[in-house]
Amino acid sequence: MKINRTVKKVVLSLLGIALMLFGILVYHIASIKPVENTNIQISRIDFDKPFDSISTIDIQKKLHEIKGVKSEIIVKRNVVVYFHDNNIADSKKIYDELMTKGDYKAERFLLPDNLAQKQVCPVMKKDSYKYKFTKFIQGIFN
Amino acid sequence: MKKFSNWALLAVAFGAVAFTSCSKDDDAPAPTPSIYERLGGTTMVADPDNPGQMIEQGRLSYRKVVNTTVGLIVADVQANASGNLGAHFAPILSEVGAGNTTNLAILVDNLTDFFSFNTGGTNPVNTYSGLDMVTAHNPSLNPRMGTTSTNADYTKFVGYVGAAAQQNGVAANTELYTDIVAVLESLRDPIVQ
Repeated sequence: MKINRTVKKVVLSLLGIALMLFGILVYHIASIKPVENTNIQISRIDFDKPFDSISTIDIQKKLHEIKGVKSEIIVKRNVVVYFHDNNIADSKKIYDELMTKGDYKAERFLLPDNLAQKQVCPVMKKDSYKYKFTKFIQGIFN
Repeated sequence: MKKFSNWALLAVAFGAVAFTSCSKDDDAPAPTPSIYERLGGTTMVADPDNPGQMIEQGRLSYRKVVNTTVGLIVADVQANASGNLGAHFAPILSEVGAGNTTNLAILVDNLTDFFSFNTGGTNPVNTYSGLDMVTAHNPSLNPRMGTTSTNADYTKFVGYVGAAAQQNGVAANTELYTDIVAVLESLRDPIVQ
């Protein structure tokens, strides 16, 4: 009888803790502010000659017409930087489509080696389970 | 007669108070609206980047300036060229280059929150949940920061923000522009380390 009462207390305590943790989780999920534009990517195309005011408007218009390209398009000298939703179109797809819209000589900008090789902390071994698991989870949401 | 005098005195006193307070109201300059209000405030508008969603105009203005600033910095990134701030954003740039854009979205969101909330946009949508400025800009405490910022680096960053603000309709000869630069200058001490 005494054992039953002790078991009952333990079970009730565990249930209480579980309920409290569940409540905290629900509150956390409900109150967290979602990040805007989670799939946003920034990409750059380098052209062979600088843009003037007319060709700037033209290239911005042509980029805007491509699905997935966001509103901010920065044109500086011979460089065009734009934001896009990488779930809709990646930078290669956008580059390929833009090239069909005019007689351009341009190339996609790839990060210089000295910057691309900068490791992002915490540094993880790319063949580790932790890295693969993180990539998998990020792949779901991104 | 005495009763009449009392009423007259009362009328004079009331008139004096009334006219004094009117005069005070007329002379007092109207308080300057916050930067957030001058950028559009809490007026809800359609979000151009998220069809079907609404956004506060003040927040949208800041987001545009933040995006343009990041874009201008990326436009200047060159191999082996110092002073273009690419090294400061190297961790994020390398991630974006590798196809992981989560932290770029967080950076843009955090910067938009930070500037919106601290310039008058205090609605919950702008709540800043990032690191404080000293920690955020110390590479040993925040591995997201590629390198420390010198005074010259920060001056260059302010220049990028100024150019971005101008590209988004804030003319350099306006009080609004001066006020935005003043906010940026108030952050120089915690950021330059």
